[in-house]
Amino acid sequence: MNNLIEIITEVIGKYNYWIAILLMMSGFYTVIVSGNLIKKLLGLGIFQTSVLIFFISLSKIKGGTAPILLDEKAAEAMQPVIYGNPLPHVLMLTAIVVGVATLSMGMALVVRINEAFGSIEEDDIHRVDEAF
Amino acid sequence: MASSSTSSEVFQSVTTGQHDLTLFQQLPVLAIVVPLLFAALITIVHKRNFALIITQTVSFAVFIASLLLFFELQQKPEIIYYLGGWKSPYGISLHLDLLNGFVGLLVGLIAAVSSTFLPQLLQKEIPYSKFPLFCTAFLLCLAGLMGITYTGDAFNIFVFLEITSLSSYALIAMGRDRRALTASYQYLIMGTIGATFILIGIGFLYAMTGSLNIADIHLRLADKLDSNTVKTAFAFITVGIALKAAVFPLHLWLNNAYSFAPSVVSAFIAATSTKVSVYLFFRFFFTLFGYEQSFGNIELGWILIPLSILGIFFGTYKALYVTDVKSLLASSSVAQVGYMTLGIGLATQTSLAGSVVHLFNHGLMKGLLFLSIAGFLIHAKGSLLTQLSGLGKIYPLLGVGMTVGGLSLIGVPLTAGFTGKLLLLQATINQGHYLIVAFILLASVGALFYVWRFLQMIWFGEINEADQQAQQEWLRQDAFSWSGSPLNAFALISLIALIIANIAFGIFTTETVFIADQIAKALIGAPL
Amino acid sequence: MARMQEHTIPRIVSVALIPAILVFGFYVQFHGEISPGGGFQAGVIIASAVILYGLIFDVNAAKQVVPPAFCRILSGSGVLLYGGTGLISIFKGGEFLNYSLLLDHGGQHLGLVLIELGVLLTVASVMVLIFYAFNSRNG
Repeated sequence: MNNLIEIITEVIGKYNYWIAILLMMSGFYTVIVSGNLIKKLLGLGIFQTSVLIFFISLSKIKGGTAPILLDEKAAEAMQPVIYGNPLPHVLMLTAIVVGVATLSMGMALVVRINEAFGSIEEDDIHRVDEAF
Repeated sequence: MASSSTSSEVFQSVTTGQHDLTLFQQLPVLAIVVPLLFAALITIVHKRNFALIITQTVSFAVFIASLLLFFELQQKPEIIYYLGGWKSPYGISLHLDLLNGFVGLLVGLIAAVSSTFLPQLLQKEIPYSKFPLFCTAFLLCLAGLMGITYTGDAFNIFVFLEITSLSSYALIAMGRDRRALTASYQYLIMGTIGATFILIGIGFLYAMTGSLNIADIHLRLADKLDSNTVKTAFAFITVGIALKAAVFPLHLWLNNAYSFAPSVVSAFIAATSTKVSVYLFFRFFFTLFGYEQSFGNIELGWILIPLSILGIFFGTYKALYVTDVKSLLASSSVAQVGYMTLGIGLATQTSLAGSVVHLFNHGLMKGLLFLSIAGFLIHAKGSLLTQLSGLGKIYPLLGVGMTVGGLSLIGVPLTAGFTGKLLLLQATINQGHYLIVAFILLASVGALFYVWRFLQMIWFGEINEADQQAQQEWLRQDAFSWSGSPLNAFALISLIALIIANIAFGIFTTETVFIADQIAKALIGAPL
Repeated sequence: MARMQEHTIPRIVSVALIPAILVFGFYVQFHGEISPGGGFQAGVIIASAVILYGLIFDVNAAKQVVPPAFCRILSGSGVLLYGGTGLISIFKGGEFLNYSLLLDHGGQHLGLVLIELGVLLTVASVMVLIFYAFNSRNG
């Protein structure tokens, strides 16, 4: 019984990973299953976002504050401060930029595809053109 | 204040404090930053001729820089450049060794050669108004590729990978055919998934080691190799790079992307992008995880060798029946990537050397083949086999380019393709995998057939009336009619240079094999 | 679809909001080196002000305020400012982006401010450009 509780707390205690996995899989599922090109892109966006949560949760430390410079008075008064690791935040800022760029690139392609093929459904495009 | 003095001490201990670097020492970063900045300058000036001249000049400058660095690397084992003056592992560093330098040389060379073909593209494939933006994307792609190659930082690889990918999506989507759009879209989905997988892998590594510097991660991983997190990271990174490198079951984006891209873009991307991804395999498997981990603990060979063989098989098979030359060459690319990963999978010194040599030489031959097709496409209507019928007789030089490239692709002795394949064969024979040996030989026969398909069409097909007229028309107008090809002198010289390179690297093999051997020795880490 | 201009409430609210958004954007920018924020966040916030204006008062009105060509030039200049800061340190004999060489004292600070400004210009203008690009395809 004790063992079971341990396992359950272990599972719940790692909730950040579960959220990341859930998001990742739902995004991935959308990319694979959906036939609508825009929905695919949205799935891709969710898929990328899950990585952001994964990285950010890595940087969190129990009882740590945000990694911001304290003003001098507070710095003198306080003991050494525990703070979260700022590096993953910075990395994810880059990943967000990449995500934005990918999404807008993809959307631009979808607009052009819609103009050229008259549809954004994979099946329709496939019918118009065998090459897809 | 006491704390400030300690912080300045800390500052000094993590910075290099250099202020007398020569221009030569700055070359690694300049090879990445110069294309990036000039890409930005082109968006500002936004003039056609300016864009063209800048793109060509910068591409050649990068080529020269990569060449100088390559020669420098034969004297020194490594060049490390600390960006922002922060020592590694605190800051981002560029870490060059012989392998880097070799791949960087390939990227620089192909970029320079393809840039000479840009005026042709301007005539036929890209609308005038979009040309400056096209050049921006081209330079960004070049900057990204150089960045992936030279950087010594794992996260940086992801960033440069995305710069390369995003700009190549844009480049591919500029193809004339509307199918270029769907091809680019497919590539975008697959490429993003691949890059995200790599990012997840890097995240796991960062969680385990707290470092992003590749050399530093390698050191810190030493006592954690059995952890499941590291193995998961390994899996994610392998799949991610395999997507980017078009290793067999993940190659589906490649065919359309290469077939429908503007012809010069096909040449540039086909000859560099997958090669750089294969280079990432080397970097992650050997430098980051280490030979022991990749091929001792995890036994990657069991996955990589069968997949490579399947890739060789399906690539060759598809090349035997497709009707479009660019699609044919793209399929053959899948097969050739199979040879490279086979060399990695076998993981002996000879096989790795073979893989490295093949990586370089395959870049040369695919560059030559796609650029020759780019030359044909100036007058031909499309790249279907029947549309290229008899064009070799009209444009002999381009025909020769196709022939040399094709022979090299088969692996005929005295062409570049022979050396790598021979080393791979040697390695498989040494290991006693005779089935694989038979298979490689069979695939080479297949290659013979698909190369013959286009060579026969080009040299012995009937000349179309329209092509003949187009040439007559052009002979009347163009100043460079003596060359018998629709290219300007600049492009012509670079084409001839590529032809010579393809033959020269087949005849004078000692140098390349020696370098590849050194690279392989360094990768495995122990003299075998 | 009823045109956005005819909706009174969004118009009035956005008139009040746009200056506030801009001020907040600049606050995020100029406090970026000592508090959360920086060029990217500020750029997106400032771009959102322009995009809101474009959504409520028609894109052409927004294009008069911030012409696309201006955005294009700005997007390139941001990258050049960033890279140029790095190049200055190269000319001074240090590594690329080694801010310490920019000034005798406080070089790190100056470098940070300059590159964040570069990021701001590029991000804000590219965001607006993306908005324009998608809008111009409308119909």
